[in-house]
Amino acid sequence: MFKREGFYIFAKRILLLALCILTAMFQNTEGLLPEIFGSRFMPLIPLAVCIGIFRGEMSGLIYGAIAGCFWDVCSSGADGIHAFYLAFIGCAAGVLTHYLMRRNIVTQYCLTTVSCVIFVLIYWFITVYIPVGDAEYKALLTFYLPSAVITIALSFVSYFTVKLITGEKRND
Amino acid sequence: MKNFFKSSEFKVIMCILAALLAGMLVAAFSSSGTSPFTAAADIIYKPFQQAAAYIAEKTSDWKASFVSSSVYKDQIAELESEIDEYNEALADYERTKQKLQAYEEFLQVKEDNPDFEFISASVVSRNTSDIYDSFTLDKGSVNGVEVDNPVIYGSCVVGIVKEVGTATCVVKTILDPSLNISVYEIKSRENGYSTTTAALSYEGLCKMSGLSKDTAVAPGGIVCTSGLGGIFPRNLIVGTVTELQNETADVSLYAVIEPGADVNTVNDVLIITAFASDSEDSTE
Repeated sequence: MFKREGFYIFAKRILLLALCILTAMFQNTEGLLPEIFGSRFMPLIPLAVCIGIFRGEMSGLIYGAIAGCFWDVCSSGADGIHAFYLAFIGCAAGVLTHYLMRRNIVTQYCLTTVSCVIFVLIYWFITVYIPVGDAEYKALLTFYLPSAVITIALSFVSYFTVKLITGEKRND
Repeated sequence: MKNFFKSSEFKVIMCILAALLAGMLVAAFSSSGTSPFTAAADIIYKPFQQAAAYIAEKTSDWKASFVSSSVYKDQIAELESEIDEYNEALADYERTKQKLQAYEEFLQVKEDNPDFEFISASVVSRNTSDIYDSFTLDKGSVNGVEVDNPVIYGSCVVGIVKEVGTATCVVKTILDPSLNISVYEIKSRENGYSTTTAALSYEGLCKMSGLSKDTAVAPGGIVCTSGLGGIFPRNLIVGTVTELQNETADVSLYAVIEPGADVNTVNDVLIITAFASDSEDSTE
């Protein structure tokens, strides 16, 4: 019985992986999906959301990352950004469904809507608005924000240095 | 939900997201521009991508059958109109090229003979009843054309103005036996006169008569106008010697000349209305 259960779990994982590959194929190959009035369908986003809803946060994270990697293979933008984003929304969908929301189609629509809107706005802002817009926005993206990220990432150095000097213990 | 953020699962998720972020930074700074995760996914995804492209290529024709025929009709009409435009432009280009070629030759003649006064003219009709290929030009007395004005194409003699109307004139070509031109051969400097016979004219040829038995004129020689007679200026090309033949009437020789200009195909010519040299009239 355990062997059969293990086989079903393995088969589900393979099927989900195959679904990610197939969806990436349809999304990234011109001519396989119809373009209605020039708009394109991005099925990888709802796929990551649905896997997160039905399989949980960890599966949503991993399969979202895999689907995002397949998207990155064909995209010309910053490499890895799709993997990061789909992993994040897959995990977020799993967490929200597990703790706050019900597992139904309304939840799927809500989460997919939010994910798609955020994705296209960020993508438009970075790839269209910033390159065409004023130099002030470019300075924000190319200097100030990266500076903030690096500062945040390396702030642990200050934390441990001051802690060492003051000898104070962590207050949980 | 608070417990979730404290659980080990959350820490693993954060580690994975951090790893993906690190991959992005590696991609940004590496020369290839790809993260290691994308490079790994590329290996797995590539055969599926090729299969998808193959399927898309094969099904593209099938999708075309669902397009309305009116769309194709409009496309065909548009393409046909484009083709017509291009054909017109091409024809215009060819005409302009030919005119340019003619103008270049005329310019050369003008540079070589600054004393010439020209009028450019175009052939408007050819006399189909005349076996000697006379033709009508679109310039007449209002343009300053007079009888006996030489007509040239480039630096080659075509004929002479025979009749002048108000706006047109008729040209007698060098294939007409009644037209005699004083000529000389460039290499040997021998003088003679250019004329033709009906038989030679039928073949589009002229002859240089009056050559002695021991003439130095040879095939390949170039025959030019000598300027004697005052009708044709000096050094206009009549044609090239192709062979030497015996005259039937006497013991002299004549040289068969292939004209430098094909009088049957010329369309744009020059009429010389005045030039500097002054000589006796030519014989007709």
